[in-house]
Amino acid sequence: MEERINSAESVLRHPGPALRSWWREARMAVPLGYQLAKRDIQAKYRQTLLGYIWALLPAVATTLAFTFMRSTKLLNTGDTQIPYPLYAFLGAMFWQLFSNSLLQPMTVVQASKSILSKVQFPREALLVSAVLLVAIDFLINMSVLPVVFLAFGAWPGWDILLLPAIVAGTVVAGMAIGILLVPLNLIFQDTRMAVQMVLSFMILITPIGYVTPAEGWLRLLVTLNPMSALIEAGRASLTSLPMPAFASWGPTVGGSCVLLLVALAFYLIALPIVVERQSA
Amino acid sequence: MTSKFADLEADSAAASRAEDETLVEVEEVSKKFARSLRKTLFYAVRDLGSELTGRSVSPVLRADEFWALQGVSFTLRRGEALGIIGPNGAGKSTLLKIITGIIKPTTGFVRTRGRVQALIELSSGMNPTLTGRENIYIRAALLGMPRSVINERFDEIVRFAELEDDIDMPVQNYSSGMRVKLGFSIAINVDPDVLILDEVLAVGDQRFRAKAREAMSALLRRDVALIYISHNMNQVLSITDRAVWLDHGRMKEIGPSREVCSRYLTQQQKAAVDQLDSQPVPINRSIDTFRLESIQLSDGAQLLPKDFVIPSSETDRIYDLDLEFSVQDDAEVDEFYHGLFVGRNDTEWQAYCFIQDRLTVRLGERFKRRFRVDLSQFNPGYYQLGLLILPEHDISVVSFGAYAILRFTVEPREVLQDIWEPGRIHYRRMIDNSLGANFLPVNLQDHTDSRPPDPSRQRHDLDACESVSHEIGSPPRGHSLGEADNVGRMPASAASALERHIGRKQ
Repeated sequence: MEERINSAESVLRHPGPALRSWWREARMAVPLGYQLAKRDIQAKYRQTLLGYIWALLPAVATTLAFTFMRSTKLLNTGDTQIPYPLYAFLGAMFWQLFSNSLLQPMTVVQASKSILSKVQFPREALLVSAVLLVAIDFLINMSVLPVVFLAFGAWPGWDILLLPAIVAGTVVAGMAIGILLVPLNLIFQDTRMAVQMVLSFMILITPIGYVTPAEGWLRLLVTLNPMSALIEAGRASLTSLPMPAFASWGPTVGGSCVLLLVALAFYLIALPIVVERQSA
Repeated sequence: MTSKFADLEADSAAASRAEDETLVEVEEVSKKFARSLRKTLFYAVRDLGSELTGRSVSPVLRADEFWALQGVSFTLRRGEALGIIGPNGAGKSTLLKIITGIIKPTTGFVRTRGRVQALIELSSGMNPTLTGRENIYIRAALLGMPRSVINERFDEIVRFAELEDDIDMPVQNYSSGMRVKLGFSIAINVDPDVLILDEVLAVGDQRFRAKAREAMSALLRRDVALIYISHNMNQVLSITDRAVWLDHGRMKEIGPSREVCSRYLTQQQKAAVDQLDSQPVPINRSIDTFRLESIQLSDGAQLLPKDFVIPSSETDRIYDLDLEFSVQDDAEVDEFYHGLFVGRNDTEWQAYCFIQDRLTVRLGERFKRRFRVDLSQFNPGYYQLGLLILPEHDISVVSFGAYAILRFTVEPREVLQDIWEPGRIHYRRMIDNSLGANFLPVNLQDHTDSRPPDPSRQRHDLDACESVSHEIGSPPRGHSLGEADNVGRMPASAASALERHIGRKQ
């Protein structure tokens, strides 16, 4: 029979039982996370007019905004080599994948405050549900791509084989940071707002609607942004654009994987301490 | 010889099994909280820091902190039911959250075995825009039940919750009672080893509560360990064997439910008495035609204080309540309703009785009334008894009205199976055609004196009082009950006047 101990001692003192119970819970967390994600999606779109089209609109709106700025010469985009709207849409799609991965854990946990403080269930399930919500969103975007490719007459090459790895890497990068911020966001609710602000600045130094300039301070900022190369790689995997060198985006993915493990442990340790401050 | 040996072996096996079957072990658990939100958040960051550096949270109070729980220990075995009682803020819910692992203790530990299911709030985790069906799947999944098993139990959950017709309706359209039924039905159908219920039957109709209690008994027979938290001592008594009394986070008592609940109620009574004025509390709008001059209560053998305890052993005792009034105002009426009402506080009342009374009164006169009441039929709890006198020709006027003429505690006792609410009266005393419960077998003595007041008259009154006592003595029960039937039927208009005058019925 399964035995649990809830002790005053720090989990780090005796990590063995904690790790075992996390592992046990992790297996339960997948079906539960699926249920929670299903509930969120059903609830989210039940009272909407446009329904699932909402998953598509942010990337479309970003594309329209960039196209507008380019055609009015407000923005110097450089030579994109492929049709510009396609270039911008793919950039926006991968950016949305990253920012969703970053914000979704905070959103899901924040919305589950009341069950967190009343029901004992595997806390990992909330993260599973966040991943699934991000995935659904991305799949809806992907599903319109064949139409877009057809419209612009541009098709991906063999680099598409790298797509799964790049998508996974982007999700891991976003999730790692997002999960790390979940406990903080439960204590100070302005964490999420601050993250959104940082993201709105970051989008400017990420090559979504423009080509990385060959020189100048913008080039330096773009190169320093660890997401730049990853998003360029994602776009390259779906177009005839040259794939950036693995050395430029590989470290981001590797570092994110390590960070994700740390973030998971932090999340599981911190949640009971943070949840007791929730009055819900 | 061999059989004896086998017995011994069986005994030791049983003993070791019983030892194994401790499902919940709470050891020296303490928990501190901070009062202000800002401090709470600040301390959260600090506690997080010490947790991550492998230190424990310091078991010393920091500024603005208090102990929500301190040194709580107990164990719970299979098939046992433990009640947790205590006033609001005693730490009951905090203890539950530590047992279930939702929050960490500051000191001590909790060890649980098997599946622990806690219903801290029945409707939590329900999404209002989703249907009952969808919510069953989500909630059962939250409680750790595999989907295949939910499919199997689905019909049973719906049937027990009595929601066959509404299961595909969004939960936001459910009444609160329906949500409670659904939540409870899910909880008992997810095969818990330890089931924790926190004040879950506070809503829901009486029939469902009876059904829910039956279901809990069935779970106990199937060797589930139950922790039951309630402010309702009858529920605690009828469900649990042992009880823990928490007070300001400390374990004040642990023991058989009957004893613990009884002492808890007595203490509650004392606290209530300390708060209340020791004098009868006048009712608003009373025009005070009469003034209450003296109150005397006896149980037939001896005089009782105005705040008394009806012990568990008393289940069928008639109390004599002798009241003396003086007339403050000349009134040309000769018919009065005397209403006695019993409630738990000033605004809620559970039972009343009206007596019609012929009486001619003039300024300065005194008169006495004797009410013979059986108060032992109330379910355990603390009550106050009030009196209302209304002139028959205009019941919107209150000639005399006071709450809390008497206060009494009914100690825990066996209650009938189907009644386990506070303040309800045993069925055997209820008269169907009366409004509310007719709790008073009454023998009323009219004793007025129309002579002008003088010292000798006062004496006469006292004598009369004694003689009245002698006269009535202990009348045959049949006689007294027969009279109760006659006087207990009160006009509906008087009932509504009562409702207007003394507040709402609980």
